[in-house]
Amino acid sequence: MEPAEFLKTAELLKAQTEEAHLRTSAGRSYYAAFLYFRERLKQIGLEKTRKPGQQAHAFVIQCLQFCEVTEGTKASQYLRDLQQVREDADYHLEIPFVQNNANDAFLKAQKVINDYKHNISSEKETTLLEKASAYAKGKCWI
Amino acid sequence: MNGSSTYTIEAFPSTLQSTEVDTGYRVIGDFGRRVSHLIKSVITDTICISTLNIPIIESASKECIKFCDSQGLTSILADCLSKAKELFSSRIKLSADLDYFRDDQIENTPHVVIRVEVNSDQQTAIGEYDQFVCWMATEIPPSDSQHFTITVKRV
Repeated sequence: MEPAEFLKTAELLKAQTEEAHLRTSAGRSYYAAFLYFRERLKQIGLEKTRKPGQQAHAFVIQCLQFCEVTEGTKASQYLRDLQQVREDADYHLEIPFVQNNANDAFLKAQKVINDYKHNISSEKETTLLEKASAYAKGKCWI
Repeated sequence: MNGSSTYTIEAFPSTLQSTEVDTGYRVIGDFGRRVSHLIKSVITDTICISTLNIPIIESASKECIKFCDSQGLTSILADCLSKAKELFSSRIKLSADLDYFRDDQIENTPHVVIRVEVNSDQQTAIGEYDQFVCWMATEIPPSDSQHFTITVKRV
């Protein structure tokens, strides 16, 4: 299954009016984006091999953050934001969550995936892999 | 973080005229004179309430300021708040607080969450947000930006 499939679920849920659906939609949007980048890193040769069940989110976000390629660094900021929105939606029930929040999370997830696909080049991705791998090694993640 | 003490920046009317009301800010609290001065220099400005038609609330929690001070991130926080004020044209709330990502509990390191509430349409809000992210990606070193998350909410 392609991670972007989760965006379809997010889209269906954000069209609902119940708050639980809207909160769940934001979670699906985050996972669509997070899993896209986890899989993309895996495709180009970077996968968390040590304790893969731990710090899975930090691995993807921080590898992108320290990759020294603007497209990757920018993606990491979007992912951090979407992760925060997802955690607000799932844990901070006292913070109101409305349709706008679900709509924006969906659009950001869609945008971060599309922007990366359109703007990254194979040369940039080679640099990204090299720098992100060095960072991951330093963190004992690979 | 619920229940955390807050370092408040309170809006107060400085000029009252028949056509518009200007608002200034003062910093309340006695936490860290140096930090206070730096943050104050960023948040002090004047706005025309009659233009926005809504009061602006700005705050940074004590925990957040203490964390930034201990990590040498105070100037980065100030830069981020300043940039947020510059870019988000219809902001009605700007705050900075500490939070943790629960998905990666083993790390459990706090990060600063800058929350911006705006009264604008989706296209404008996402456009301004994207500009902020581009600025962060190019101007703030990753060793610093890894401690900051910005999230924008439309009201």
